[in-house]
Amino acid sequence: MPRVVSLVILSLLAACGASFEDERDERLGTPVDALIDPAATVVAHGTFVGRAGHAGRGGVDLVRSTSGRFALRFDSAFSVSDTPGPFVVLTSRAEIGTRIDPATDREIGALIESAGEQTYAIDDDGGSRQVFIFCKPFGVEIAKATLQ
Amino acid sequence: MIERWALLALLLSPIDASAGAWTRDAGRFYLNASYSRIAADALFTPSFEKVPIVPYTQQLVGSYGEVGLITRWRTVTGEGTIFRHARLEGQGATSGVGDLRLGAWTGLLEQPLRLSLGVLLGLPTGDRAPSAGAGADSEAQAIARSLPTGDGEWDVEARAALGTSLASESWPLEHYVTLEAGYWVRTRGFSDGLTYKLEIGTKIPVFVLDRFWFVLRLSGLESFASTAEAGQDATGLGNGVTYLSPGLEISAKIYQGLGVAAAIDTAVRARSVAAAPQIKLAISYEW
Repeated sequence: MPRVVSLVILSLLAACGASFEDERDERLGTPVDALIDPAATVVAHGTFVGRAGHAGRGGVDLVRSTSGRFALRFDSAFSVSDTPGPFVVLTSRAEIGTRIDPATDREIGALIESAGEQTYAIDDDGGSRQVFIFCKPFGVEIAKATLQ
Repeated sequence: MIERWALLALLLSPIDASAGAWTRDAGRFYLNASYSRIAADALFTPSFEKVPIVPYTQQLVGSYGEVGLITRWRTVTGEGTIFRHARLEGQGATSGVGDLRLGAWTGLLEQPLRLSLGVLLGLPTGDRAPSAGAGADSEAQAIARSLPTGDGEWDVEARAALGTSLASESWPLEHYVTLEAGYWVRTRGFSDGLTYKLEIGTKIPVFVLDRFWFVLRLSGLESFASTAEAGQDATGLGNGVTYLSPGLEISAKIYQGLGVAAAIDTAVRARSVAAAPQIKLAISYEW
């Protein structure tokens, strides 16, 4: 009897991989970690604050390179909670809610790392000054920084 | 980095299955198969706030069984999620086997109250980090990992159960009351937690109605994880899951040992779980 029970348990442990069904309408590209001009000037600065009970800290700069390109540069103190599917979103909205609205929100790309320096190239800020780390699968705001 | 955040939901265990205060006589057994469903558009955050999320549904097919090996002294139990399907609308869904829990109970007192002690062992038979498959993009992998079918850790819970039946010639109803409390030791970096349950069952001893039990239940889990720790692993199957959940169950004996039950419960104070009622249907056989 103990041998049978052991075999059943081992079989369960060996055959437990879950299957996945993709329901997305569109696929996103890989994250962009744009290295830009170190002489770029800081246009605005913000500090991340956690949202919905999540951790969020560190700073973000909106920078403009000598060639006129823009980027969001997260500093070395940046960190956020580990969450599924985190994206960097630049928006004029004070809150995103559960869905990214293409009319007002710009999906910059998947978050490269949950902590540490990283840079995201953008065409321009378009007047949007709210940077969100947004859990896209669940539609939850993880952290937010207001650029000033 | 995302693999530890998984969802919700999960929440509450299948219709409260445990040998509890009443252990089973030698050779007697009880089997239960259940289906439960949660449809949520809100989530309790690690800081106990309720925030909206994209529509989430979870369906579970569970099983529970207990067998008496030695009258009063030894009852063994097994509880598992045979099938777990979790879906985030417009994002993706995972399906698979969930976790398994084995237990052993012994009855210490029979009079004036029933007192039993149990030890429950959790086996990580589910998938804590499902894959979207080879070639899938990083976002698909993130969605898949956010919908685990198991917590990925071995755990042990020590639980005490106190129970009594209440019936009197001067009172027209029959009742039972159970009170359970447990200490749950977690591994893989999970914080330990306290479990508890208060249950009051009522039967009306008149023709036909005496086949039904009307049960009020208050169950809960209090994780010792800090808000910051829970925020690093915010999921119904992750670290920090906490809930206080009132519920109602109606069970009926159909024929001999065959029974059915319907239950509903919902978390009123919680973190890292779906904020929605769980509905459950079950069929059972007792011998």
